[in-house]
Amino acid sequence: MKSGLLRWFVLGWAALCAAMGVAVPAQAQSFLDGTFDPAIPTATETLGHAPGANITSPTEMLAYMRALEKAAPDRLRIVKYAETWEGRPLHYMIITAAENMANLDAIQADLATIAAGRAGNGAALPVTWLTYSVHGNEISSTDAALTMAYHLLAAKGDARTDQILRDSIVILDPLQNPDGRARFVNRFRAATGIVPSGDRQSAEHDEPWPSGRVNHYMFDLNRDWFTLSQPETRGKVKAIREWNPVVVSDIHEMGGDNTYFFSPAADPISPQITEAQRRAYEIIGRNNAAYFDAMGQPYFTREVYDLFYPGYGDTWNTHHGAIGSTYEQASARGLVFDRRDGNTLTYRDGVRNHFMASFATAEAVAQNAQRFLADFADYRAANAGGAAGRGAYVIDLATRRWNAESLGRRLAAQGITVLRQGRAASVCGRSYPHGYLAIPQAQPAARLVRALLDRNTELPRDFVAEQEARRGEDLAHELYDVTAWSVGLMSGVDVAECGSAVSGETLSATAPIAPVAGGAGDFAIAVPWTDSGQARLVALALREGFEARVTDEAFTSGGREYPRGTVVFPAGTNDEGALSASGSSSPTRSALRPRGSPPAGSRMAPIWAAPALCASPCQRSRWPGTKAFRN
Amino acid sequence: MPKVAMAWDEGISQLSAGAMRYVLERRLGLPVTPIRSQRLGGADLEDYDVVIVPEGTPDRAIVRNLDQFVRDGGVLVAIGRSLGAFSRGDSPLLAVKREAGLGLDLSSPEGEGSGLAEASAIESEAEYRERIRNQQALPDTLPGALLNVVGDPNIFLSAGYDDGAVVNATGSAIYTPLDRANGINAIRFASAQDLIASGYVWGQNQRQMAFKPYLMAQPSGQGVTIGFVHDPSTRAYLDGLDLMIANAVLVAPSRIR
Repeated sequence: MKSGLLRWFVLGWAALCAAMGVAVPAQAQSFLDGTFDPAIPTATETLGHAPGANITSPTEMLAYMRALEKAAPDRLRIVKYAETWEGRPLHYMIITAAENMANLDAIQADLATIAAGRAGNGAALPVTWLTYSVHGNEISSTDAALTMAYHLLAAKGDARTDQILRDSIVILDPLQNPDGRARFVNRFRAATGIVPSGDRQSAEHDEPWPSGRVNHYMFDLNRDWFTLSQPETRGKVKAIREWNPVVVSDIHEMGGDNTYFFSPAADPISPQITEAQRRAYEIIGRNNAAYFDAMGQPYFTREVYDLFYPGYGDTWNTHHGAIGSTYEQASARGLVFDRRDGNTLTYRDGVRNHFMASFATAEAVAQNAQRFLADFADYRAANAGGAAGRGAYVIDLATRRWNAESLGRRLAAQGITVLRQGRAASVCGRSYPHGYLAIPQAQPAARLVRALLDRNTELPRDFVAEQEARRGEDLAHELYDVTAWSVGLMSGVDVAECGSAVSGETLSATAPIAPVAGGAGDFAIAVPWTDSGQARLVALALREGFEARVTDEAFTSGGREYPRGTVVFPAGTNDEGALSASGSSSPTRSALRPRGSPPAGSRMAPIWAAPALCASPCQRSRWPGTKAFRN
Repeated sequence: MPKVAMAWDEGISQLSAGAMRYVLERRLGLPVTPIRSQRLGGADLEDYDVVIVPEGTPDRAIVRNLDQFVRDGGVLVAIGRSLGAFSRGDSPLLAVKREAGLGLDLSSPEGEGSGLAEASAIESEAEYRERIRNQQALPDTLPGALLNVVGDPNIFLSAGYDDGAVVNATGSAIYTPLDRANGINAIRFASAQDLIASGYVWGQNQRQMAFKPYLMAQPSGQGVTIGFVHDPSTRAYLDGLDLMIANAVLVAPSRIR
């Protein structure tokens, strides 16, 4: 707990030094020695505690960021990129030398040109994207990000810092999961007494349900990068694609009895990761190692944390051409933690280590700026030219239409070029009467395309052999996550690989999914039970109070086939005008035009609109042969 | 529309609860009311049409209360690990059992009587390995693969899946099929040779999972218990299974009247 008297003393001393024009040594404000500009507000001045002395809440973090931006607007720019379900904002910080900041648009544009696989004009600088706290209870990362921002802005006469700011752009996303961190911090502060406890059994370490790891919907955001189900993910993916970083480090915590992990990663490594990328990990790894060796801090590489599943921050970004890594620090999960080896791990230790890895990474990029930029350019251009394949994945719009359209837009939202052929067409010996979506392999994001759309991603043979051997000895397997995630299969859509030329308009991620309407019929509106959009339409209609019946057998009407499970909204029992209006205003309406009486021999059962369990027999189907549950 | 409650809090997987709630609320538009596990064992569930129990270990009070809820005409949807609680005991809501690993001998006797073991000579490494094997072991854990399933066309629970479906399977849970007298295996895994859609599956698991249930339904009293052996809402990325979830949550309550 902070002492008011101590704070007064520190502030007074700092003010005295500033008044004397002396740059305050302020070692307590960074973990690297140096001289620091007193005009840049310190954590102590703004937050009331030195870095690592307390666990900063999301609101406090943002207040400090704003104070830094106010003091150095020529070198720090804060950009809001999303809002959580609970209404908390997410921001990233752009930090670079003043002359670069003044030229930022040109740099960004040149990076976009290079990312498109075309030759740049020389304006580009490499972007180092450091992203923190995707798991809200992996806490030291956010405070490390703030310390990193402070150091980059305040360090004076430090050649390393000057090089980072001059030769690169550092973008810090200090908190990917504000709702999770807020949950952790609130519970932690509520449970902590006059002296923080190091006992892992104490309430301040022992989170209630749900833990701070997850976001509002209790999602592990570090599995969501290609699914884009959460607003936090959608925002950061869009932001990263606007900046085309050459290096992305995703900064985490792990169990408190552990040490520190940075890349190179463990096996299995995705086959979509190139040899050139594997070599580049060594550059960063060696610089990280140098800093940790200088501190005398232990670390490990090449074990536990793999690069196979594309939904992690490291793998996903690597498939876009960055050198994507995960860094893991043993977590104090509080302010102090009694380790099993008898030592005490403090929150400050974690903040210090993550700061060092952040700085070492940024330095490695700046020292090798041209190499990282050239590697990125080569990677993107090679992919655009077909290095990862020249065919295309063709998704039939006749099967699970809404899911296919939605998948296409999710792919477009993560920097993948998707073509939409809306008219009937034939390609690769198949006819597509409702058109198709095509994802060409020859594009800059080809490796991500392959990783997501290939039907299968092979595990390395020797890794498989090793796992089978372990199984033979009743040992647990070493895979960190799943072995399959082919998005076409998971969305239930029809994906064909095709070698011929495909056509279509480029699909925008934000293009609305057009409703397919057939108008209302004399008898009813029928919603075929064929895709997620249909199910949603039925749910919304029931919420509005419409009554519905569900069919047990396929039927034909107006020359069109309707599968079993088709939901029918009979005109007789529903307000026809409201039903049609509701249908046409729904974004996913799919209706037909049956005429007259219900299809002969059809058997339907009610889906009722009444909210409660019925005390008396519920409304029964009008039609003969209602199928009871028991056969 | 059906009123849906969901088991929540300690004893329930936060990832499973969150994903299912997200899919129902945000993708399908169905409101969900969470009820904490501590409360669920004694809760009055008369107002609800469906109660979902995500992956987890619901306690005895919850199992008893939900047993009554189902018999009174409710729909219970149990996911993954929570099937364990509902398949135990004398008159379980799901009359299935979890299978041990393939090739194990569950009838292996322990030593009896004298306190001495019967004499034996181990003659090979292979025999040694067989001797030290854990005969009560579960099947090996799948890290996760996409597997093919097939629907029973005579039950509404598989509507939308006349051509089968692809599901995600992880872990070691393999259940015996429901006996026809007790209920219906609405969706089951494909044959061994057709099983794998994508990913790596241990050879024994491939053989053992073939034809086993994925989605089962057992009527009790006036209601029904629906069990998903693996979570269809995981990571909200199996949107191909949304219709299956809708069948169980949106449609099922009206099918038991």
